[in-house]
Amino acid sequence: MALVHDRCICLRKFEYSETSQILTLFSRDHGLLRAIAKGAHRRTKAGASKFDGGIDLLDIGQAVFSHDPSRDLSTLTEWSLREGHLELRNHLRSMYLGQYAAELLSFLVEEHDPHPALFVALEKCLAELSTSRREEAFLGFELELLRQAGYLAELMMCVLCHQELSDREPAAFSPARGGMVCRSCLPQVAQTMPFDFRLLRLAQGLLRLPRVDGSIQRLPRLTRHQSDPINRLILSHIEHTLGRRMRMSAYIFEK
Amino acid sequence: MNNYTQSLQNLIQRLSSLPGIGMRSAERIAFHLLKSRPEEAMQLADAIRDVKTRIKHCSTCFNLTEQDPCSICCDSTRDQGLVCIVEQPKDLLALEAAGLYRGVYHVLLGRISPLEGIEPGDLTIDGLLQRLASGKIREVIMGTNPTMEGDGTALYVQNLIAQYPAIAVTRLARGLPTGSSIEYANRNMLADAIAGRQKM
Ligand SMILES: [Zn+2]
Ligand SMILES: [Zn+2]
Repeated sequence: MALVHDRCICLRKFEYSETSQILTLFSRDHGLLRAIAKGAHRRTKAGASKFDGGIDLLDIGQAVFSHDPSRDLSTLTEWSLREGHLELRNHLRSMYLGQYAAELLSFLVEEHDPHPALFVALEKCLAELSTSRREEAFLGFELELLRQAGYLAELMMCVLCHQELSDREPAAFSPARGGMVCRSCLPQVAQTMPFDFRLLRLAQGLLRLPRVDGSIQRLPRLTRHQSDPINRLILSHIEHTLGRRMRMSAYIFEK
Repeated sequence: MNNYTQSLQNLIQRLSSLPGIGMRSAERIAFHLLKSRPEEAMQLADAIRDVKTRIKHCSTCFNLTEQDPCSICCDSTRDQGLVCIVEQPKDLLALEAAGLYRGVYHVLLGRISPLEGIEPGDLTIDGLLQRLASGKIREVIMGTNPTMEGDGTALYVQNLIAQYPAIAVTRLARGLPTGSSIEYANRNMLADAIAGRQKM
C-alpha cells in the first residue's frame, strides 16, 4: 500500500483507546478520509511525540498516511503541525463556527473524492474566523461548500415555475424542493419557511460575487441579524437533504 | 475456547474486554486465577466490588471518594476560596501528585464536545454554579486541557462565571514543557511560549 504526503485539516477526533485516536481528515489532494493515529499520546523522554504534540480539531498539518480507497481506515504515520489556530480559541463563536464548518464538510463531501479548491477555501475560512470578519467568512465558505459539493439550493428563481422572484410578493423556502418558491406556486408546496426578501437579495448577491480558486472574493461585512437567517435556511436545506441533524446547530443559533 | 467450561469461558471473555488485555493474556490470567489459592483469587473479586460500591463522586467537587465530602473539600488547611476546574479525576490526581496546589477543585467529569454530542448539561456545571453562588469563592483557575474542546469548555464556563464579577478567573500557563527541548516543541507550544513570555 502506498504512503502519500498531503496537507490535511483535522475535522473530527475520537479517542479510540488509551493510545490511539481515530481522525476524520480533509486532505487537499486525496479528499476526506478517516485515519487511525496509533500511539498518539506516547512521548519520548525528551518530550518528542510521534505526531508533533498530538493532533487537535481544526489543526492543519503535513501528513503521511497509507492510502487505499478500498479500505475504511487509513493509517497515519507522520504529522507535522503547520497551523493550530490559537487565536481562534480566544473566541467561543469562532470555535463553534470552525467546528460547524468541519461538521458540514464531513457530511457533504464523499470520502476519497478530492476537492483541492474547497480545501483552500476552508483553510482561508479558518484563518478569518479569528478576525472580526468571522460571520461573512463562514457564510462565504458555507455557500462555496454547497456549490462544490453539488448541494446548492435554488435561491435565484422559483424552484417550481422557474420565474424570477419579485420584490413585491412574499416568497418562501421549501427544504423539500431545495429552493425558493414564488407566491403563485406557494399553494402547491407544504411546509415552507418564510424568508425576508432583503436577505434573499443579499444571499443572491453573495452567489454572484467573483470567485478565485474556489473562494468568494470581496465579501461584504455581515451582522448576525443578516447571517443567522441565511445560515438557518441553509441548515434546513442540508438537514432535509441529508436526513440528519447537525450537532453544531444548537451552538450556532441561540434558542 | 469452546472446549473450556462455561464459567472459565465467561471469565476469559470478561478479562479480554479490559483495556490492553487481548485474548492470550486473558487466558493466562484466567488460568493463573484458577491455580491460585481461593482467598487470593477472592481478594481480587472483593477489590473490584469495593471499588464499585464504595467509591462515589464527592457531592461538592465531584472527585472520586469513599467519604462525602471528599478529604480535599474537608481539609481546613487548604484554601477553600480557590477552585481549580479540571476535566477528569485523573487530572486532579496529576495536580495532587505534584503537591504544589493548596486550593480545592471542581471536576467537570468531561468537556463540552459538540461534535461528539457531549453538551454542557452532561457535565457538573450546575454544581459549580451552586458553589459560586455561595459567595465563598474568590478565584477560579481554568485547568481544562489545552485542546480546542478544553479551551471551548473553559470559555463557556468563564461566560457563566461573569455573572459573579467578584470572582477572578485565571488559566494555567502554557508553552514549553519543562525538561523538554525547544527542538521538539510544536508550532502551538512555541506560539504560546512566545505570547506568554515572562520578564526575567
Ligand atoms: Zn413559481
Ligand atoms: Zn470534594
